[in-house]
Amino acid sequence: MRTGAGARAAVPDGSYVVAATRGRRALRRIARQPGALASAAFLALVAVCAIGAPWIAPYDAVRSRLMDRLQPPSVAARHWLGTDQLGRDVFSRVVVGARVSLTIGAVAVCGAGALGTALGLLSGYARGIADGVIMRIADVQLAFPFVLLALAIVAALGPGLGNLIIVFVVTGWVVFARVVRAQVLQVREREFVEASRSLGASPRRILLRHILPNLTGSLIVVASFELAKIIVWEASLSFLGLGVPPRTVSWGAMLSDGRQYIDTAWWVAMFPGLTLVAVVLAINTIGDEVRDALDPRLERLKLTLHPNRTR
Amino acid sequence: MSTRSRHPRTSGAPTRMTRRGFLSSVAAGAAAVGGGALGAVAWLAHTPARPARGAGGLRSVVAGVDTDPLTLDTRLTTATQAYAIVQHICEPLTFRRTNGVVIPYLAESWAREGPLVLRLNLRKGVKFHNGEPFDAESVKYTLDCVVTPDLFPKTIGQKRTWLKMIDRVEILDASTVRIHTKYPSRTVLSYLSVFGMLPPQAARAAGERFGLHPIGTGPYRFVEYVPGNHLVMEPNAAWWGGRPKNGGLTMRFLPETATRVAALEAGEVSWINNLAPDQVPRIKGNSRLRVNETMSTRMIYLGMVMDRPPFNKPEARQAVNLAIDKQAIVSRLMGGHGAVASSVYSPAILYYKAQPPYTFDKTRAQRLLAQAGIDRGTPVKYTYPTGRYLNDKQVGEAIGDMLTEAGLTLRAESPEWGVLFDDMSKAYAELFIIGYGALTLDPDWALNWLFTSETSWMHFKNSRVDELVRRGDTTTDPAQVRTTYEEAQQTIWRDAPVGFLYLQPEIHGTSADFVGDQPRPDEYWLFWNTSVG
Amino acid sequence: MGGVIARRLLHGVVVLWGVSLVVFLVLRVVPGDPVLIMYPEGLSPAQLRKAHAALGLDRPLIVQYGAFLSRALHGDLGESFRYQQPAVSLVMQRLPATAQLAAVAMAITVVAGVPLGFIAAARRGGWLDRAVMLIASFGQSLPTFWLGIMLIIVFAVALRWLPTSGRGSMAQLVLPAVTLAGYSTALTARLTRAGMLEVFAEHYVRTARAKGLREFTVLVRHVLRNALIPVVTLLGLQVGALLGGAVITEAVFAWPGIGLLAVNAVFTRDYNVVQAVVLLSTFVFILVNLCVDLCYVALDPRIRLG
Repeated sequence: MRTGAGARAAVPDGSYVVAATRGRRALRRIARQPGALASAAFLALVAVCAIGAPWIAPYDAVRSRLMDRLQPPSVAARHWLGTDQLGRDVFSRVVVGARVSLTIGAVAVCGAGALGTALGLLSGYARGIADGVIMRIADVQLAFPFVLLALAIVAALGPGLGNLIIVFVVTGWVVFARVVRAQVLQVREREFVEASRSLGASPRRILLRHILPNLTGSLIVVASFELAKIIVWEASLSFLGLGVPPRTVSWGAMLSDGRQYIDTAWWVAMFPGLTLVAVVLAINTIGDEVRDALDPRLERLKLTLHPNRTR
Repeated sequence: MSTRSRHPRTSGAPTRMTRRGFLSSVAAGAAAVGGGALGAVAWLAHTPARPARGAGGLRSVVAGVDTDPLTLDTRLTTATQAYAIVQHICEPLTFRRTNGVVIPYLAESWAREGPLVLRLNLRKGVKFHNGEPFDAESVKYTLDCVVTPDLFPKTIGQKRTWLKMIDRVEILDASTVRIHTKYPSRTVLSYLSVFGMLPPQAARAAGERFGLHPIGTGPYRFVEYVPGNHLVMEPNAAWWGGRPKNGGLTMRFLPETATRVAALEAGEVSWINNLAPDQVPRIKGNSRLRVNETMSTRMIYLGMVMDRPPFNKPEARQAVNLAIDKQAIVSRLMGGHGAVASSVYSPAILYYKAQPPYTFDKTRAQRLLAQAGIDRGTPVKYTYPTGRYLNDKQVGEAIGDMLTEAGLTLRAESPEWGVLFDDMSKAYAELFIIGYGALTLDPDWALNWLFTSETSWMHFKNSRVDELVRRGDTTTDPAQVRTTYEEAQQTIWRDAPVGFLYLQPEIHGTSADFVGDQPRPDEYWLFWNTSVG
Repeated sequence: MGGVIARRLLHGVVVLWGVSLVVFLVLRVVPGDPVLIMYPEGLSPAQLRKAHAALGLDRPLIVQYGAFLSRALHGDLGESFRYQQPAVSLVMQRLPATAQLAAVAMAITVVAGVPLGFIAAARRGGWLDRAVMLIASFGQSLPTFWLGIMLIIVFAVALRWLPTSGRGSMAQLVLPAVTLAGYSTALTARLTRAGMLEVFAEHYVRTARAKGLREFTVLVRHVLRNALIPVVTLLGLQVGALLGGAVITEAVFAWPGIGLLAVNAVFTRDYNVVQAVVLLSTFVFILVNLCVDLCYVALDPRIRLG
């Protein structure tokens, strides 16, 4: 019996190969779907706007100009999407808002994902007391009404972008943890993991090389859905008065502030709203496609359903 | 794959999918039926009462109100609107005209029998809704609940402060009481206007539950109150003031502006309060709706904490008043409704005197700020509410921008009300927005809290002003009172502990067939002379 | 079986206690004095002290928590500072409204979501699949308050088909329930679709077919039961989501439920009401999840709840 590098070679290490091929195949499939393609392109556009906001936005998105209050969209007046209730150019605010909304979403998802994955791995692999404790905490967390938790965190830590992200991380990790845990429980029973363990591979190696690659697909899917949910909930928190701090531009805050003008100055809420919906739609579409692409069982199903298709 | 041909699924027969779908839908249907059953049970378990329909052929008024009174016990009310609502059921001894002059109500007349004694002659023949007679006994009971600490301990402490001048109430006969005060008080009659009289027997029997089913002498009897949903009242045919002109009053609580306006437009309510200025053109343009408005006494101030930099320097405070374009705020953000502040309090309050305006002058403001030598590096903390006053968020942001242009470095926050309140009471932020008016339309109310040393959130400690406010309450000679308050206004205006911003408008939206809506500066709404259709 | 239920209940009690402790601490740690908020027109320091003493807010936290626990075990959760009524009766008064809304929204979710997801799975890859998934994605990307306000404007103001707000008649239930159900219906459709697709490909289905069992038996005994598992899980989780979304819906439609009560209570630091609402919703959540777990056992004997 060989150890270390030799052991690696001796066990038919299915996980890596499978994961890699699956990944490549997935990308190819996604590239062929028009919906996913369009979504990806749109998101790239939004990302570009977010990064290049200071150069793209024609007006100052934050300073108020009472003289130009609530102007309708007009190319002639140089406000393509109109102005809001403080005279600020809506187009500029939508572009600048992309930064904040996407940042909140991305950072929160990464944070919740990291925290949730770590806890899920620990819980699923170690089992026993660690599992019990973590799952109990998760239960308490889930039982706690989201809005009240958000309220408490914002009230305790003060209004601020970072604190808002903390709200989403604290409430979002549970989904990741549960999904990861479920996957870990499944995978750890598989043959190559058993074999690996019997050959003396350390838990860390098993986690990293066997379990984690199989998780990537699920994680991406969950992350995409959570990202979409966070971007939408940012708007709802603004509605309740718990959103971004003043002078910070976000689509959610624009939507919330503009809600009393829906029937008079519809452009104030409509454009950030449409952008928000479009972005979330795109994220969900890509998430769907990734999910479909990565599931091996669906692979088999596709083969059986479409007898004419070849590999 | 050789197994392909054997599996029935691969032949692509669609019918199996449909059958599978059918069965699962059956399962779903079963679940739905279960859910529906649950819903039906929940619904049947509590069917709220429909709002009462008109009595005597008159239509009921349905009003959409933005705040819930929380309680209907005159000893426990805290929300401003609660006073107006309670007045329909439990009435005070005195009331006031819209110019602040106190008028008789349940007390028909009064006379001073000495500097410390006030005799009230009560209206005769008035009965409470439960049949108890309104007499000196009920007056003494109600006032004792507020004045004596032990009779009804839950009385809000603040209300005790309003009647702090009362020493004891003496019954002379069934329709006469004598009020003994600790010092000669000018304002006792005006403060009495916010306390509804209670029937002693019923109140004692109900104890702390009285507010859930109030009984008074008012034009309306209480029918039902579901907190957060609605309040229903029916007319009292035996009211001493005549007969209410409508068949009943229902108030629906609709805190969300968009919903309230939608209810008015859809014809579900005939009257709403707190119509946002931006909605006014639309409502006016609707031929089925009307808009009525007036100026409230509520003035929006920009508080400045005076015992630390930068606003410990008078130049900085002057600069703030000059840096803000109040006219622009009123004409643009408030659509021309409301008015720029022209003194420390509203013209609707007694003894108002217009002061030389702080005209918007950005250059001078910048110069003054430079003179004051403010450290640009340390940001000034600035807090304002969202959702508490009309367009408060917009005003807060606009003012922030104006101050920044004048040269101040700000750190703005708009936390939720609980935190904001805490912050203000602890003087956390050097700059804050607060709105304050006078329910009694009397300057004692308007000045006492914000501008006297003991309670001022700006830490405004001016002993002259303290003395003037004290004198204003204890002097009865009108000429002297006038000079006292005029000097108080002038002193406060010059010292500028706050930025004197603007007066909030009081705007109501009504249906076109709504008659009798008269907005008042004390933000009271009175419905007994209103009718629909 | 009984042991499993007992253990679940014990877990539930622990969770309930944990939640009450967290709420208690958080409320008292967070800035904001309930007394001051109630009497904005200023209280002298002496009056403030007296008010605090009257409400028991000046004693050390441990003492306060002990008092709270001992009262709570008798079913008394204290009085609402704001409404001057016992917190429990206030919550009970408003609970039917939220229960009604949530139940109807759940019914809509199931009636609309499951069949939609199923159709999408059945016609996978076709235009119907894409259409359903598009609608579902759309439903998940609209913030609840926006959906609510738009529905009011379109159906209540412009078309006048339905009332704008409030609670009383069945008609007033429609818009709020649809608004609340929007997100979870979309989610249910998507996850049902995913669940169905997984089941189709399972080994045991093919094995059953290969054994030559009648199609019907296969469907009922294998596919159906297993397909329901993810749906049931989902429904269990949706309860929590519905309670959270109910807050927004109740705010928009002035629906007098506990969601709105809770948010206002937190804003005004009405400690006892917040505590009552949180405990109640936790209790409901635990109960629902227990039922979900029991359904699992009924649906698939292979699942061990241990």
